[in-house]
Parts: sequence; structure tokens; C-alpha cells
Amino acid sequence: MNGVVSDKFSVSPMHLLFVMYVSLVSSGTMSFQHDIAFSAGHDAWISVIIATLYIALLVWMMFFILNRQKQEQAYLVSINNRYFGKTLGTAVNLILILYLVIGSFVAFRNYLQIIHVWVFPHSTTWPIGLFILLIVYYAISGGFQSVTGLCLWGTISIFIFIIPQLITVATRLHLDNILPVFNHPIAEIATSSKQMTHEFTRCEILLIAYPFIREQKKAKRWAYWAVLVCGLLYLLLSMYAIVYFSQGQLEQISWPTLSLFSTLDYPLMQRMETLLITIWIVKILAIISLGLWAACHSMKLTTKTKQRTSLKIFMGVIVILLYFTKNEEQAQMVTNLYSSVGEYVLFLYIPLLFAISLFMKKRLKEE
Amino acid sequence: MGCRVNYKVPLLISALSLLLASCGNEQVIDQIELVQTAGYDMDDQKVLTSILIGDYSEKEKTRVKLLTTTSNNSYDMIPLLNFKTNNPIEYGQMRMMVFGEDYAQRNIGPILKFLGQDVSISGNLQLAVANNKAAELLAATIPAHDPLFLMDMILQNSDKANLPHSDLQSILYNFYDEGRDVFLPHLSLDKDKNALSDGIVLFKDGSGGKLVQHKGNKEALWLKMLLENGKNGTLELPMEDVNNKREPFAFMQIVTSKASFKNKTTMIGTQPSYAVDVKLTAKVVLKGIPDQNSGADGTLLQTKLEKYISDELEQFIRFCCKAGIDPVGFGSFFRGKVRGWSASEFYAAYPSMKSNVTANVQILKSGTQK
Repeated sequence: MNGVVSDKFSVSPMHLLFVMYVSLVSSGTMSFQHDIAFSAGHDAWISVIIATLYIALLVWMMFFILNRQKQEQAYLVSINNRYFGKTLGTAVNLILILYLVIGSFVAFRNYLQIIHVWVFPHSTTWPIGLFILLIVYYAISGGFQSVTGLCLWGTISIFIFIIPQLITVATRLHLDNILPVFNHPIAEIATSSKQMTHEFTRCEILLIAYPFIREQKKAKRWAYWAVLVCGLLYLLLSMYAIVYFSQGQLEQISWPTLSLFSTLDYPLMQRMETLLITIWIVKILAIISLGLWAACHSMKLTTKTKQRTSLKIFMGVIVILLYFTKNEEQAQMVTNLYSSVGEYVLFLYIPLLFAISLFMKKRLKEE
Repeated sequence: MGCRVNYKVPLLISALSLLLASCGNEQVIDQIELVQTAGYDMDDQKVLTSILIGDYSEKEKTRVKLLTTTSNNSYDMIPLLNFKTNNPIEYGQMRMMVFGEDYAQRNIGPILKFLGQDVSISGNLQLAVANNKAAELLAATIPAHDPLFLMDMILQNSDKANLPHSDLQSILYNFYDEGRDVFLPHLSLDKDKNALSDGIVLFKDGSGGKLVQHKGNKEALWLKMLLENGKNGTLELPMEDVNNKREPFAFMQIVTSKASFKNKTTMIGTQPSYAVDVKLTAKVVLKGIPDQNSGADGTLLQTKLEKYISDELEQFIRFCCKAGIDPVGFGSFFRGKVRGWSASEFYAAYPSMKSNVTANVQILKSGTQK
């Protein structure tokens, strides 16, 4: 056993790629181009690069923080307790746990919204939602290994499906749309970059999943690979949206990735977007499971609640939230709240932990 | 552990099977009315919608039904038509929509926006404008026993003749792009009441999608050559013949063509003076040209042909500039080249945009003659 957790529960370092990929590529994949194009227009792809570089920096910071801990204490809950003291640390932990649960809910609610708009406009979506939750419950009760397995399929499924389709529409692109590069003021690109970081708000899952990685020294490489792969995927999707749709059109459509697929036409399969949404359920299952698993595991470490009990409670929270977000505006409100908390996590919380780690190391040495 | 497996496996199986079963929104083809082609006309201040429904109840035989209804708006055709059918109407497979000329004379903007937002409508939907009434045109295709006759006609004309390719996605692209205007294929009836594809109609987006002008198959080809590969496009080439011995027109077919644009904008003070060089290279096949040894030699013919094509393209571009419509997308071209481009400024200067077309044509030998 090289890791902190026994081999029965831990995974090999390569699996960190899938876990990180699922935590970085969230439910916004279908719609982020629309959001970032509002401020930066056709320069939005630059903001994708800036946001990805920032996330790479955060991942570096997180590894730095983890390396400053004793190996058996290198996880989020213990770091918070150590840095902020018992009371404040527990409070921060509980806020982060709630944040993870709401993150899962946002992905879940967005997916149901897509199902409602694109696939079954005339029927209720709660039965599908219920079954998604049942499968998530099944996956999480299998422990971290089965969640990681789901992440593997969540990663592969979309890649197998999306990339070949993108090649098919390559003849319909207006490459001129990218020009002239840097036609927007820095402030607009910065706003758009900030908007783009909303896609990455779950990157702190690295701090929670880290003890479950065997041979932790090798893990770093896979985490950076995940950031690179996500960055490239987002870059590709944003570039495609910019050259496939005209600027005015991109501002009109809510799910550019799905609209892009809706023009594809094969002899036996005429509505590719429906197939994409169906395959995408694997990804959504992975996103929800990973988020809830992280929340349950942190809950266990913070309050010693049994993982299965907290899972049931969190599922209840999700169902209640689902009940109270009946219309689009309410769902958007939760998403906005989640994104703004996410900004604090990305721009304040992780850098703060990093700054404290720099200082703590010194203090340890003095002792 | 055994206890855990006992409840988990049935849980998974039931969840998965219910997930499959809950998607059971199945509809059998002969129990629905599948709208495949639709038409919109103006009828007194009301909107007359007509649809073609394919009836697939008999094997290997398609009967086509035409249904019409009038309404005060363009959006409630499905519920109104449902009053007239025994099976529910489904429009998820609608692939062709025709606007009557009087409908298109008003704005098509609102209906384009509506089509763009409805997820049941595929991005492959073909749109066209009918010479007269769309309903008449739809009725004329009933004997063909193919509810998608008009769509196939447009598609094959785009692939094998002069029509530039278009579909809902590209039309919406043009509509929402501030540097481009919409064009649609134009359909009409010949004297025997057969449907016929005859050129394009040009719209002005600025006014919410107003029909501006109908242009024939020749102009459709010029537009196609400016936008894409004008492969398979054909043309009647006027021939000078003082002695009146031959037919006055020869036939030209384009094997392949490519247009490239070069920005020649100069700044006069702070105002840009827009100018563009269009270079067209094409390979063509000619038929009905006099034998080479009985008159004009190859190079002379080539020079004449190049001049003819560049003059015609120039004329087409001039027409667009004067009319203030931009189906080629010059606005979008300059947006990529001139920093600080603005649509309103560009289109104010658009009528005086300078263009210079040079054509480089290679005549290919055809047939078995040496």
C-alpha cells in the first residue's frame, strides 16, 4: 500500500485523469459558448485559454498545498481544520459540502432542463430525474472506485461521440469569423474569462480525492493532463461555435453545442442531438456521483456521519431543491448563486489556502 | 456484503429498465400525420397555411394529402390542422417550407426566429419562395407521389445545377450576421403547371427580412460562384455571329470554380474607402462553340470568356451594392480585415464599394473529338 487509503478503495494515478476531467468538464459544455460570447464576441476563445491557464495554476497551487501536509493528513477537511482552527474549519467544511451538493444539483437540473426542451417537451421530467438519482445512489454506495469507473465512461463516451461529429461539420465553417483577433478590449475578455471559470468551479475535488490515489507522486502528471484535455475540448467547442454560428445567432441560442449537432443528418438517424443528449446521461451520472461522493466523504470526515446516511440526506436536499425550482428563473437563480460562490472558491479560497501553506511551512521549520 | 448485493442489484436493474421504459414516447408511422412540406401565403390579411402529408399506410405506395387552413398568425397551423385530421399531426420531420410571394413581401424575420427556436425543426429544413401562391405550388407536386418533391428538387439543383446551397442553419446564420443578407431559392410553375426552380430571391435583413428582388438562374450561378464551388453550374453563353449561321448561344458547364477575395481598402482620413479584388478561377466545358480551325483560336475564346464572366460578376456585385443588399457577405469579409468595422458605417458606404473582378478560366476539352 503506497497511499493513505487501503488498496481496496484507492485507484491508480492514471484514474485521476478521469476524476479531474469529470470535475472540470461540467454540465455547461452544451451552453458555455453562449455565455462567454456575450462579452468577448468572437474573441471568446482567448478567454477559454486564459481560464484554462488559471485552472492549471490552481491545480499547481493545490498540489503545493497537499505537499505541505503530512501524507496521512493531505485532504481538504484536515487542511481546513489545521489552517482555520476546529470551529472555523468545520464551518468552512460544511459550506464546501453544501456547495458540492448544490453543484451536483445544478448539473442535474440543467440536464433535466435539456431533456425537457429538446427531447420530451410535453411530458414531465421528474420520472427520469428519479431514476438518475437511483443510479447515482447505486454508484456512490459502491464507493470511490465505482464512482471513478463512472468517470471513466463519462470521459470516454463524449470523446468517442463528439470528435467524429465535429469533423463532419468541418465543411460548413466560416473561418473568417475568428478575425480580427483581439478586437475586444482587455476588460471584455477578462469578463468573459471570469465567466469561463464558472465551468471549472469543481476543481477543488482534487483536494478531496487525493488520498484515494495510489503512488501520489505520479498523480500530478495526470491532473495536468486532465486540465490540458479539458482546455482543448473547451477551446475546440468554443472555436467551432464561433465559426459555425454568426455572432448574432450565437447570442440567440442557448445550447450551441446541441444546435451544432442538430444540422447533422444521416440516412437512418436524422436528429443527432437527441442521441447526443442520451449518451450524455453517462457524463451527467458521473458529474452528480462525483460531487455527491465528495460531499458524503467530507461529511464523514467532518461530523463522523455515516456515508450512507449523509448520501440519503443529500439526495433529499436535491429532491427538495428540485421541487422548489419549478421554473427556469428559479433554476437560473440557483445556478447563479452556485457560480458566484464558485468564484469565491476559485479566486479567494484556494489562493488563500496556498498563501497560508507558504507561511505554515516556515512556522513548522521554526518549530 | 451479501446483504448489500441483494438490494443493490435489483435496484440497478429496476432503475435501468424503468429508464428505458420511460422513454417510450413511440409513434407508429401510419398512426400519425407526418407533415413533410409546408407553405405559407397571405390571404386577405390572414395567413393561409398548407401542408403536404405523406400517407404511408400502404406498402411501397405513398399517397400525398394536401391540407390548408387560415389563421390570424403564422404559428398555430398544427392545432388548426389537427381539427381536420383523424390522427395527430407531427411536424418533427418537416423538411421543406415554401413562402408565397405575398407572404415573403412582408417580413420573414419573425417566422425565421420562430423556426430557429423550435427544437422540433431540423437545421436541415429547406426554405424557398414561390412565384405566386405556395399552396398552388404544393398542389402541383401531388401527382409526383412524393411529399418531399420540392425539397429534393432544391437539393438536386444545389448539387447539380446553379442554386447556391442553403438550409435553415445557413439561412439563420445569414439572417443574424450583421455582415450578410439572406437569399432563398425561388420556385415557380411552368405553363404545364409543373414545379420549376428558377433562381433566387434576395432579402434585406436590416428591415426584418424583406424580399427585395428576384434573380434568375444565371445570377444564382454568379452568387454560387462567389460563395462556394460553382461545380456543375451551367450557363448559356451569347456568341457573336455576324453571318447568323449558328445558334446564337453556346453552352457552358462549370467543372469547378473558386473565388478568393482580397481586401484593397484604403483610408481616406479616418474614413475607410472599401474596395475588394475578387479573383475567380474556374474550369469549364464548352459545347456548341465553332471549330477551332474555322474561326477563333483557343486563347481568343478564353480571353472572351474570362471577360464575359468577370463583367457579369462585376455587374452582379454592382447590382447588390446599389440595392444595398449583401448576399455575398462583403460586410462579413471586411469585418475580418478592417479593425473597428461597424455594420452601420459599412452599409452607409456599401453602394460606393469598389470591386474589381478578374476571372481565370481554363477550358477543358470534352467528348471524343481531337
